[in-house]
Amino acid sequence: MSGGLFDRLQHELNAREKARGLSMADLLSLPDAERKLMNWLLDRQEASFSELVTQAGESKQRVRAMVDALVMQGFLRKIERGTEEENVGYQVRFARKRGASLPLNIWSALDEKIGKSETGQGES
Amino acid sequence: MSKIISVHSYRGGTGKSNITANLAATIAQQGKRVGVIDTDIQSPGIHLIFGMDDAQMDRALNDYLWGHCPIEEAAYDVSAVIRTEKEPSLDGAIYLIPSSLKAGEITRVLRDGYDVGLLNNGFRALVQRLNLDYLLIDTHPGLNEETLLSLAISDTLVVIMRPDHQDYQGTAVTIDVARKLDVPRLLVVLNKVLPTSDKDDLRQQVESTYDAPVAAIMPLDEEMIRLGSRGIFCLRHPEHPLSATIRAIAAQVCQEAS
Ligand SMILES: Nc1ncnc2c1ncn2[C@@H]1O[C@H](COP(=O)(O)OP(=O)(O)OP(=O)(O)O)[C@@H](O)[C@H]1O
Ligand SMILES: [Mg+2]
Repeated sequence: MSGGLFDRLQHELNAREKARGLSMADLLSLPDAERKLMNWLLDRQEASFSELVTQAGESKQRVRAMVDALVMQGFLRKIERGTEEENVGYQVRFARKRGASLPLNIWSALDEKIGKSETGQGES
Repeated sequence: MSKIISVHSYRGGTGKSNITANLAATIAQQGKRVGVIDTDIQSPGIHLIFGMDDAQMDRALNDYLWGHCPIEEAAYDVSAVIRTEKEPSLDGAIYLIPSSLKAGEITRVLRDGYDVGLLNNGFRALVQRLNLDYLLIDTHPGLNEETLLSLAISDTLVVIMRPDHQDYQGTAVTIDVARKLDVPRLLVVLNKVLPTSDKDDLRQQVESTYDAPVAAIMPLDEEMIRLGSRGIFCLRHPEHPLSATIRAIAAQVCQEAS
């Protein structure tokens, strides 16, 4: 694992970018109303704002605030196919599952061992 | 409408993989198109029950998660297991999406993680592209990201537990999480129950603890132990009482939620 300061910074930035989005643990810790809406959207895959309002069964203002906050947190992705409200879709934005944070030297030791036992397995 | 069914247990070794494989075979024998996906990336194994070995496996779920192929290319048609000489022309089919058995590929997923959104899309793509009636998801015990996602998108969750104090506790956690994820239907299966146990008492105890129906009570069975995951029990021993129990679970899984 060589590489200068710049590489490490870049690595850290990439890791942070990947970390954005909804993890299942995030989903479980959302307040009831938000969680219910996200559960529903997970099955639906995509919904418009008015569909979200219908599903939530709450006022437009309340759902607007909820949806905006979920977008801000990086849990919802806005798909803009036009400027009008009905042309904007919302999807769940998943976080990348982060790798286990074992020290790097353990992974390279594992790689070496596995590399030896899996002959012909060039990858990884 | 196709249905997604997750088979889970909080603790390991309860019989998830064997029950999943047997349910898949039973449902496919009824003429349905069934997908089976092994999301137990850390410790895969259900392919063995379908008689598939490592050498036959050149694509796995891992390849899809790394963007190497569309998910249906990691699906193996294992329908041959249900085609007997007596009834060769059944409509049913089984597609198996295994997880990689290569140590390097397992550690790579553990080390680098993967795109959970891709796994979610993969479940849907499988159902559509293979035209499945049912997708059965075999899970890793405990509650990791793959398992939680599987629960979240399931129409039915089958929770397997043994009559064991640790299983009781763990099942409570799973059921609590499943309710938070709005899983529409929960079924509990008690497995490895001593044949001498009072089944009615056990059923009542479990149903009142979790407020969820017990789909079946499966005894600890010698013949099953002897088979040792080297085949699909209900195909080998269709007349065995355990096979009748599996058919009863399948009937409940397939029953339209009312
Ligand atoms: N009713 C039963 N009677 C006897 N043995 C059983 C029974 N059900 C399952 N087994 C045996 O228990 C062992 C574990 O089963 P299986 O691999 O299906 O469990 P699992 O929950 O998938 O395990 P893991 O958590 O490791 O994935 C196997 O050897 C299987 O043959
Ligand atoms: Mg298993």
